[in-house]
Amino acid sequence: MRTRRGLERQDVGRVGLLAGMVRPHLPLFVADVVTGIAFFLCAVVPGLALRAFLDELPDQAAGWALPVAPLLAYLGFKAAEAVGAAGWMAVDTVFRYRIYHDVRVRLTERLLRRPGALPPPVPTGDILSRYRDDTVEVAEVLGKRGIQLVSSSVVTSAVTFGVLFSISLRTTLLAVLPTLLIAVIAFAASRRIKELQHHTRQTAGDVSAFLRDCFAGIEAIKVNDAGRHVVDRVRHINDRRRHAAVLNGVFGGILASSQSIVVLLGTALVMWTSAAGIRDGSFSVGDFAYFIYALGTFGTLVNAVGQFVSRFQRFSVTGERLREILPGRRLRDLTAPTPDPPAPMVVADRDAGPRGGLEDGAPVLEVSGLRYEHPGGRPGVRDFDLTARPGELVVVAGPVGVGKTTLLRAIQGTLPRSAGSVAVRGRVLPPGVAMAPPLMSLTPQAPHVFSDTLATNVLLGSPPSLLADVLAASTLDHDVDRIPHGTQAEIGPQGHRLSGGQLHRLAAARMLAHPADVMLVDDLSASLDVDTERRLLENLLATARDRVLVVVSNRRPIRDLAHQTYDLVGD
Amino acid sequence: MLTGENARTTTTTATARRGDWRFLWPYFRRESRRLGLLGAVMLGATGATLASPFVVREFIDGVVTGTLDVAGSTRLVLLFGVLGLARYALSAVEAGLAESVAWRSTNRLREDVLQHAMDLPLEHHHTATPGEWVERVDGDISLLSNLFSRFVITIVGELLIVVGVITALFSVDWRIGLLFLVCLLVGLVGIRWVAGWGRDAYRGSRGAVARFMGYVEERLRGTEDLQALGAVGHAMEGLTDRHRGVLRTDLRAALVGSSLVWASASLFTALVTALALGLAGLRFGQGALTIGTVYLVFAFTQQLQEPLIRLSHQLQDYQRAMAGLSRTREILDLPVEPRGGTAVLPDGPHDVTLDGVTFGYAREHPVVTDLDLELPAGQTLGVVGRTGAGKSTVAKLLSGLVRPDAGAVRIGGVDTADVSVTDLRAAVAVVTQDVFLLDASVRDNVTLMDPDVSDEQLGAALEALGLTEWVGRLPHGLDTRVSEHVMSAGEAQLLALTRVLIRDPALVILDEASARLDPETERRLDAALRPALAGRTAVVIAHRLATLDSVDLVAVVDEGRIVELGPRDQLSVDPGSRFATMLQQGGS
Repeated sequence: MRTRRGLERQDVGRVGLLAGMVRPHLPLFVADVVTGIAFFLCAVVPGLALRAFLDELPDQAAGWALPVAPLLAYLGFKAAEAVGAAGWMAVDTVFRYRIYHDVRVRLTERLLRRPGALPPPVPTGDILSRYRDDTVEVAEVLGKRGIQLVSSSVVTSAVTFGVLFSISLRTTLLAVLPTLLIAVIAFAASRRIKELQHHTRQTAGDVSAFLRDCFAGIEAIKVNDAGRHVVDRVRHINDRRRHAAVLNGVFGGILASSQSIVVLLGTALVMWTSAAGIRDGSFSVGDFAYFIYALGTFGTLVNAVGQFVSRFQRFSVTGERLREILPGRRLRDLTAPTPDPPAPMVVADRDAGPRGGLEDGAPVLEVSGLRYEHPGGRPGVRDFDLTARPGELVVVAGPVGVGKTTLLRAIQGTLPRSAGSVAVRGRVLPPGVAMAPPLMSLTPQAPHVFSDTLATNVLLGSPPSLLADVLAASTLDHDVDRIPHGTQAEIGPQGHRLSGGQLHRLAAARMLAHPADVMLVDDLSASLDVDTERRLLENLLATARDRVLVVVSNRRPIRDLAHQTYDLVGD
Repeated sequence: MLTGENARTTTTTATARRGDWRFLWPYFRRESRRLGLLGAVMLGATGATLASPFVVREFIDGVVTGTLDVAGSTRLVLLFGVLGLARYALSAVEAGLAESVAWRSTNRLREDVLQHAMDLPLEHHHTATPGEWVERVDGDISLLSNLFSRFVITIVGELLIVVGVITALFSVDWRIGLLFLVCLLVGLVGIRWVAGWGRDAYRGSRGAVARFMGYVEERLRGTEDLQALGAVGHAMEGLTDRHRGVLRTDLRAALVGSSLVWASASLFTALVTALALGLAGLRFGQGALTIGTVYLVFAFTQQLQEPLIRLSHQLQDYQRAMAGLSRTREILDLPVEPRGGTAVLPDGPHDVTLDGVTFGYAREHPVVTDLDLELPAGQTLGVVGRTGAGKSTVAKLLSGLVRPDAGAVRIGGVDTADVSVTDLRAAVAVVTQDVFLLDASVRDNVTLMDPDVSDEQLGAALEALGLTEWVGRLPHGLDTRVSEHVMSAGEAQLLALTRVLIRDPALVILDEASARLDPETERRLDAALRPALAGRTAVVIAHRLATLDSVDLVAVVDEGRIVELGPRDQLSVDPGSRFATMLQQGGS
């Protein structure tokens, strides 16, 4: 408990987060606020023009004469306002984009660097719904629906207040009172809205997570004819969502009319207090019209402040939702560019020289006392030791569920070890940071591929010149010749346009395109026949004489090739 | 469900061109009672809105001419306040009712679209990420319900007010009424025209966000691979590129879609206000109108401004929803997989025949060619071949997931194209090596949310596979939520087999089902399966030959063709057969 509180104290709050996000974009933020204020101020003049028109009308009313100047002023400022709107929108859109772009990029970078084999903090569907909506919310609080709106309304209201004051002190005070009263009510109501909004969003997250899983497994749904059960379940979730939405609607409706109610009560009070003035001529019909026009400005202010307050209150939920999916759970991490991952540290002096200077037969991979516990506390890897010298093939075998995959992941660091060390040529990384090529690579049992071209999926940033060689070495070139568009073919989501075998040969090609000193290969028996598997492994050893391969396999012919074999046993 | 389905088929062609709206009617028609109530509330609110400016006019004229005493003016102020409060109370009720109608009706649409989306042929699911599908079956329709609950209510409400305002103005002075009417018609046409430009801009913006989210989703799911290959930096570059595309489309949507419309609405109202004030001023000069009426005219111009400005404020929702709506329609317009005919499968184990079957995802590149095969009822066929030879496609053809381009698949002598999909799916069970796991309870994963599966059935199936103890160790038993990462591949596979045992199918297809299992677990599985497969026809696809020890027939597949077919016992001892050669080379 103490550590947790300590962590939170170190972290930034809502204001700190927003300030940290704005700092690098300060000029743009100022431009956003200034254009907003200019745009809002354009609306003050037309009210004064109306007042002049109504006041001059009785004096000039003989025949066809009309007070034309006020009408032209009215039109002119409305035109200025219209032009201002476009500039304002453009500046605001760019500003908000810059903010949520930063949030998204930094959040993704953190997510992609957390130990990749750990289960996500919340289901991936939920992460994405937060990633889409809550990141944008950070920008909304600042932009035209947040601080920018409030600042514009405050300035405009202050100017309007000055004008009203100069017309009639008494009526001004009596017209401003209800504004304040309603503002207080809106503040109170916004608390309730905050809770409801949170509830609505929570249930919305449920639906998308559930649907995402279902579409990911559509083949299984189809062959089991489970579609109608999926629909039944969705109906149930949707009903809950509807209840939340209706409540939200009623309260939202009340909040939305708060602006109009300010105008309404203000108008009633202006009527009530100005009747005597109009009778005795100290308060003109034009004054009356302008007061009512100006009340609209205060209505906007109350609405803006009310919206902002509830938005800002809700923002603590937004912050919490982002914090929950941020590895490390510190919002502060969003306010600065993500630092580069730590470079491997040299702990043994035998690798002081370049690779060629390596002393003969020194171990390439040294694993000692490696330990890993699953999130629930279940032991995954216990005190595992392994030393492999150049050119060695290490085979790991054992029954299903014994932790072969977990072992590989813990060695690479896509699962964070709790004790022990892993060194490649004397280089180490802190727990939870995965070793990457050229030190170490891993080919998982079920490779993830991306909805992109075949070439991109193989290379993933490696030089394109490698492509032809690795396709040939993985025997994928034969398939590529038969696929329309060849290496530029889109392989579809989850590689759906490729067969299972092609997918696994793609994974093999990918492995070859990212050579490393230590290559970890999870069980390929599900995807490759024994011949192909053996050829691939021999090929990997032959291409780099001082390489080490650690392979999970229960196949006899593969075991026969091994220099070392580890048989994992359960408890 | 049936109503929705009927609605879909009868309206699909009719609405393909004219307005995207009409296919929605059946969904809203069922809410007619609530809609009626909603209408009554809106009428009440409109009445209150229209009466208020008249009260102000009486007040101004009365006070200016001195005909109104203090008590009289106080009465008018109170009346004004009561009318206003009534209006806002009614509008809160209106908002709640609107949400209710919107969600009730769109939830039904959601169900239909979801059902339809899941019934589409498999190739559609291979061209969009799960994330994109969620956007389409939920996100886009949520835009529609927002559209109804906010936009439609606003527009209908404002339309009522506009009609009221014009009627009222005609009663005051027909010239001013006419001016309003003409301006309004011009304005509505103009705004519509401008709004048309915005639609594409919003569509582009939604599409860019969906593509971006699809990209992010795939990278998050593939984090382990990216790290294992040191490709995180590469993924981040792609992300930044795609996000820039989001900005471009957003800017276009903001400028073309939003501010242009707002600006034209605002300018237009200003023009109408100036014209109306000028005309009213002239009529005042002629002594035809009082100063209170001039103010009334101004007050009503502001009532006119509201609908136009609100239209532009809501336009963003509207345009986004229209873009979403046309995508929803696109889905509904896609033909679903044929639901099959009325032919009935005979009881008991079925014989299975492939008769000259050819299939390819792209027609010019067949995956399997001219397959001929006969599997007698109750026997087990093993299918072997190198990876990529077309083995899994054979499984998909048998289960009806894909349909042959040529030839026929017959089960029990009946062409599967003639059998209803429901019957076919009940008769054929498939277990693949990739197990579909839902982030839900173990029970839901095994029953696939079928409420009709009893706990006894479930218990018996789990017992048969030796999973009872495993379930007992879970923290909440069957109600424990599973997560892909906690369960091993073997455990997941056993859960998938439980599904088969529960369903009691006549034909079982194991598509590399045990490929990820170690030999010991596979033996356990085999023992559990043997009684389960007894009396059933089965197809076992494997490249691990040990899996095929107990099959009756063996088919060797190469490059999409069956190159060898015969009883296992004969082939294995025939030194010239490919199967025997494969056995000699050995697997494990």
